Amino acid sequence: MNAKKQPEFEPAEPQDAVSAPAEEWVRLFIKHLELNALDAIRDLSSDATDFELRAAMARAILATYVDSGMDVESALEAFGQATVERETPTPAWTEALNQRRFELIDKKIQAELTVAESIELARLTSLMRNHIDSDENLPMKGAQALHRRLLHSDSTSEHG
Amino acid sequence: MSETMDVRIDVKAAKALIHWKSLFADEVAAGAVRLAAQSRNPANVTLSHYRQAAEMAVRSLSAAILGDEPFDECEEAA
Repeated sequence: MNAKKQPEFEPAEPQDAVSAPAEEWVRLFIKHLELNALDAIRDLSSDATDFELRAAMARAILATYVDSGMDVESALEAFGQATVERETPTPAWTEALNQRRFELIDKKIQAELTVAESIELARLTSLMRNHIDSDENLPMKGAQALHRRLLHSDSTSEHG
Repeated sequence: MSETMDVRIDVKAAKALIHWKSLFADEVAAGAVRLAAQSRNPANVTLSHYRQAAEMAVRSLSAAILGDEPFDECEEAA
């Protein structure tokens, strides 16, 4: 019988894994979330509605973000970003959205922004950032011209 | 989700449960990392490591639950 040589042991790259520090962070976050949720439901009666329970959880989630070192505004921004991530396909950035963003920024400056509008502003800011960072907005023409110039100078120096 | 009854749960009891769950999870995660460190692939913590660590963590969890230490003090110390 031909005994084939076994390959050297090579640790396989985990296909579906999470980072240990991230998992630990999440565990701590969830513990705080549970404690904050408990505080949030303390005064609810046994016939509390789903709406009241969800509202209590929203308070608990926000409190947990704050516990984790995030300010309320950044937490709302995170919700706005998450909203954008759920939207498929990502809405195109338009002049109307840009205009709405300016309106909301004006309201924010005048301290008239509601919480719902804060989330809307965060969503719009996130959409705008995605738009600015998208390939179509990268200065590709200049980069391509530079690339061509470098290739050309490389080939002329080889032949020269 | 469950039968609607006017049962009230002491906040202290509910907090104790949160603490025990967290204690168990922390013990399992830390134990699994230690077990993985002794294996051929220390950077990969597997379900098998978690199972072994969980068996050990159950025992220390029992001790923590039965311990005399009041929950609030454990929580404050954490």
